[in-house]
Amino acid sequence: MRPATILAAAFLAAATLSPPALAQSPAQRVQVKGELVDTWCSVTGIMFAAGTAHHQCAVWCAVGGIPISIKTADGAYYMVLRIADDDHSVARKPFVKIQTHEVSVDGELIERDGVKYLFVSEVLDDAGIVDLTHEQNPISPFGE
Amino acid sequence: MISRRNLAAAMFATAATGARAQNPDPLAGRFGGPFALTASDGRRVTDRDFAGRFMLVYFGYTRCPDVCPVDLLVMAEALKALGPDAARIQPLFITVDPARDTPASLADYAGSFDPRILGLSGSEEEIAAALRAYKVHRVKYIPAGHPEDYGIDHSSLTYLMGPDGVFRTLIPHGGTSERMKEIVAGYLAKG
Repeated sequence: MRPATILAAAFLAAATLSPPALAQSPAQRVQVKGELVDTWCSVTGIMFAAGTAHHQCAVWCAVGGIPISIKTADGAYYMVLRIADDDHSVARKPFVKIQTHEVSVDGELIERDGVKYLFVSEVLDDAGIVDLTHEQNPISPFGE
Repeated sequence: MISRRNLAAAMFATAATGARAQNPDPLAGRFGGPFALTASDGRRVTDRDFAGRFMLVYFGYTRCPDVCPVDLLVMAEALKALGPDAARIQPLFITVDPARDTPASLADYAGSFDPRILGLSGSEEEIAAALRAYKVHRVKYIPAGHPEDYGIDHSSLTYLMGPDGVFRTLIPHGGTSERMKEIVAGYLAKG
């Protein structure tokens, strides 16, 4: 087979074969309620990673590039990839300011490889910090 | 007369565009895109140079105190665990600090994790374009009195792009090399 024919065949295959993404879950409209957490501290379970005692750490982690998630009461994580039409980067400045707050959001859920990704359309409610962990734990990571 | 290389690149670009247009994957098209950068060996490269191979793309910098070393180690261990299949992947480490990361320092740094990880740099404009395409967060912070010792906050996601140049998946910071290997192997098996 001539090289040009091979290339043409490869092109045809690339253009017509379904990519593996076809097997992925479609987007779903959802409403999610939970605490805004820095995913790394929360998933790894270090520094109890919740509420008032972890607020400062959560802000630093979010600013530093650790993805922000909403952790629901049942322990599920929804990693936030966008808020409204802010499509500049995966850093979510509006959520950095309200880390550890309990929020309710409306958005688009896309699941991929076991991770729940959330494209937030609207923050429906911000209840502030409701988990007062500083009453039982020192401020993390450096104390009060 | 169009060269075979240019023909392949054109086909790749057309296939990628077509896939984005027809692809029902809700994440496809949200991350990734063309880039033109300088490899750590001095070559000028674009995304089309890697057509036909998967790309594992990570953004960081050689002076990163924490996230980059962890994520590159995870990537290196995952590549080892993939064995011969890793030959189908081009791992890329794209600097977010083109002012300080030279091709030589990128080669040393990325190569210290795995020699297959190709460091990429470029002008500030070229890097900024790549960051926009992948929606990478980058903020410089300057310690008081030591402007030369600045650090850079940056995103910590690893992107898997398909051999057609289309986005496949994200691998967030904090996972294990076994999990990365498992995810990547799944996409390799699909072709």
